[in-house]
Amino acid sequence: MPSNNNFVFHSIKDLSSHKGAFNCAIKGSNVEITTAENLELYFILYIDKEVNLHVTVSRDCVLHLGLICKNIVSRVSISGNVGENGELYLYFADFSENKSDFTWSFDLDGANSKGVIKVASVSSHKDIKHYEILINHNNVGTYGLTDCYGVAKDESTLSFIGNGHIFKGKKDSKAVQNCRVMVFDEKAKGVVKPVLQIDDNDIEASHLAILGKINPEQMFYMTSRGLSESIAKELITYGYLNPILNGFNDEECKDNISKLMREKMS
Amino acid sequence: MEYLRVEDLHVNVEGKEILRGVNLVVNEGETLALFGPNGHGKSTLFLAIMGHPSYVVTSGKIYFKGVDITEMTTSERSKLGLFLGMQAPVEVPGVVNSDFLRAAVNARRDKPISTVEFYRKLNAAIEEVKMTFDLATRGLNEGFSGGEKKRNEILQMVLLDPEFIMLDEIDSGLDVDAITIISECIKHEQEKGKTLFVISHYARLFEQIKPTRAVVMINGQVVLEGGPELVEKIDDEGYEFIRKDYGINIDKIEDETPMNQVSIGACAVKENAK
Repeated sequence: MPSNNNFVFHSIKDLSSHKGAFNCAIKGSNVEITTAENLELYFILYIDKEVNLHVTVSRDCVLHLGLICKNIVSRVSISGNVGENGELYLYFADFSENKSDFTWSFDLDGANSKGVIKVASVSSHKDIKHYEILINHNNVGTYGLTDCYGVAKDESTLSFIGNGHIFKGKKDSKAVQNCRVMVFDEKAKGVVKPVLQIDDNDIEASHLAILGKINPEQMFYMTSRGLSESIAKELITYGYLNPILNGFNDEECKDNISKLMREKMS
Repeated sequence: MEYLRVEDLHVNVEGKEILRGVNLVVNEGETLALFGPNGHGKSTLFLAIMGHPSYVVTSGKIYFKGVDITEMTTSERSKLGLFLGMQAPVEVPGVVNSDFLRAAVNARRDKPISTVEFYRKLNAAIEEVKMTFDLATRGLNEGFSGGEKKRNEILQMVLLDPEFIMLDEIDSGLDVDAITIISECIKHEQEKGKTLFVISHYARLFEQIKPTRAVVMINGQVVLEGGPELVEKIDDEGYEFIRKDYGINIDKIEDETPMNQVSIGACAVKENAK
């Protein structure tokens, strides 16, 4: 199994039955993953420094990519191309620190290809985190979903800018952009901007933007059972981010995520 | 022994005074029934005793077993032994019910409870409220029916074993069989010598749990106290006799909730196709 000092690759499916299932090239901070055709792959990557990641999902391949981001990374660039009938499921759990830029772009090149990008991000102290996620629908029948859940606490800033672009002639395509940030503290800031650029009529598109504070009634309910405020916030945060974190189909990984979340919330 | 003492309590909610000098004592082992028309401060009293941050005590004191709890946090009051079964339990999506219950149990212990012991206690509590185990794996009150939410409150009461139990309309939304089940749970707590303070509008619950005393709140104050016979009188006659016999005017409570300001705007702009 490939590994180096910067990244740990972890496959939760036995690769011995998928010889030549993927090719992974690492050069400095550049990582390229290319899948073979017609199979289903799972990866989990831990990212703790700046990285440029490019993913190519070949035709009829389904790739589940779980990325866990911690420490100071400053920048994570991700791009991807998805071939005909290919599916990319990217789950990103972000517990990075300080100022981080996440600029991602995915091209649904093949007919009926799919790109599902799910982000769970916690910003704390004086973190400034900025996400820009673009999905280009370059063919017919493509499906693109960006689903972002964020928690901003202390004096941090967390922004999600999502963009789904359906080009002219790409009929029967569907673009969904959902951005949510829950703000815990007075000085924390959240920005949500789900954008749809639609150049054709025979398509479906929807977007959702939710920006709000932690529900005081939930806090009261939990503290009325003796939980401290910090534990109540931790449970509420985990519950809030759960739709994304469930995509990490590995128990050890889920434990690691719980630990990272506890550290970030403390 | 006095368990709860409320002295001249004044409470504001969103700048409006709801409790206007409540004086009340609940003794150890009592089951006290709290009555009053809607909007006259019953739930406000419970929430203020439990320390809800939106319910601001402007003057007065609350004592539990002789300790002044007026300035304590909600969590501190819970750990002292107070419990509130809520009128409308809130949903907390994504938080697994068993994770929450385990955290609540651990909040009262020096050492975290072992997994085996926790699930043994949880199973016993679920059996007592006659629910199914899948309740434990669902989100906290998420998608629960009204009746399931109320039974989840009783489940927590059974599991956390508090000393002083406040139940706010625990019977509302329950069918006859469910009322019997929760009444049995409440009676079990009474047999253990627990102290209860119960709001309900209906005689059916009180027929089963048999309160030792009753108080009536009107206009944000306790205006009448009595024995179990007061429960029957209110069930038969309503509150009109209070106006006639005691000369107490019952304020009409209007719903002053303002309509939300809503802005309807467009989020789409058509541009010429490139």
